[in-house]
Amino acid sequence: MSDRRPTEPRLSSTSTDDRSEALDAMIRADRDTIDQVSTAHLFDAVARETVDREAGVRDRLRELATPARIGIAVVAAIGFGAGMVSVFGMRQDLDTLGFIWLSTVHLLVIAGSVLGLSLALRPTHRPPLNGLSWMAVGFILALPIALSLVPGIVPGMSGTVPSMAHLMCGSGGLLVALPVTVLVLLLDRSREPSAWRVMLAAGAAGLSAFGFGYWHCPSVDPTHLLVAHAGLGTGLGLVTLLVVRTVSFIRRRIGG
Amino acid sequence: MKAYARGGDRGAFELLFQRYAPRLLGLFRRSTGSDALAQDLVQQTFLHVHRARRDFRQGKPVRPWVFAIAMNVRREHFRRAKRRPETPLDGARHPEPSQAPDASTPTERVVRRALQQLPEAQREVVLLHYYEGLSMQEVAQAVGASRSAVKVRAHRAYKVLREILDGTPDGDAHRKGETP
Repeated sequence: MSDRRPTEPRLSSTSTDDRSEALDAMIRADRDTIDQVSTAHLFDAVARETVDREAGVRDRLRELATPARIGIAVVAAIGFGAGMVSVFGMRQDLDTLGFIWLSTVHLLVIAGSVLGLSLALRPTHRPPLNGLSWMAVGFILALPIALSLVPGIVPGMSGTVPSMAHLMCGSGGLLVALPVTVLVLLLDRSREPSAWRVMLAAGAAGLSAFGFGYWHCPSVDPTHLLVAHAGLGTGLGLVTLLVVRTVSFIRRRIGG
Repeated sequence: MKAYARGGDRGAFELLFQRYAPRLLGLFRRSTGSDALAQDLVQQTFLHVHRARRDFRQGKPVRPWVFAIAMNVRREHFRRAKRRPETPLDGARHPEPSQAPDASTPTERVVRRALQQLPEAQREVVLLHYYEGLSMQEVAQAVGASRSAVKVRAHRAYKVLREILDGTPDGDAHRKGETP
């Protein structure tokens, strides 16, 4: 089988040469027909949305090269997390956690966040991820939960925290995760981001929020860690998905 | 392409559109059976092309890059529609406005129905290689698979098509030169 487009019947065998010739004739006719179709009116519509339009902030963001888009998202994720720690304050017991465990947690959080943002902003000309996209979503949403439940993160400690603490950590985390999610959606090039892209964006932003919580809050209560630290990505992802779908639905209804 | 990638030059974009839009329109019409939907998918493809122009690597061929975007737009459309991609090429369901009335022969209908029976991975290879004239290397780039994997898919697809055609009465009729 050659690389070139077939000029001779390709389905041919000694008994089906006639059908292969018919297939080739059909394809030629189909191609000729398509060639005659005018696409001028289509270009006008596309041009209105692209080259003829004055580029706004969102246009400029999503027309950046993909490494730049990913870079902006990663810097924002780390920057918002670090910025919020400086505003809310750093926990005082970091030295008790041990260097190896602390490094491992932060390496995983940063790696997971970079992975999530890279996949969420994956360009359309790259091969499809198929099932891998949802595996990545699962990994990124499960990572902070696993880190909260691993005993090493709370060595020899247990307890409860007042409900106000849930609110404080949850609010701080949301202030990190929400802008990062919105930024990633602004950097996204599709007309309507697919569910896995939304969940990856929110999951990666949730990891950033988890990082903030880890540096800020000394709580070892599993409920608090799951609700106010680790669950932000999942919750934000589901809410964002609902909002995106609702906006798309309304836009479709209005647009007919 | 260089000027277009750098500054979004309108003339270069129009040239790109003129070169590939008719081909893509044909691809999408064969895939969806709807002219309006095909036009919408062409528009979506070129929106992506425009937004992704800075991702294009200078010196690389443009055609597989554009077709890769188109195939992903197509997949995304079918995924959203939550239905199996079909190639409703049957003349009855997919009227070609400017096609000659006698263009849809029994054999053509048989071939089109046979294409519908192929798995999606094989059908997209046939569509790109056979209909769009992409080389195996270009098809591989467009569908995101290795060249050898694409060749295997094509081989299997053509084998299945041949088997289907061998076992159809319409095909036999055509072979004997009968025109119902």
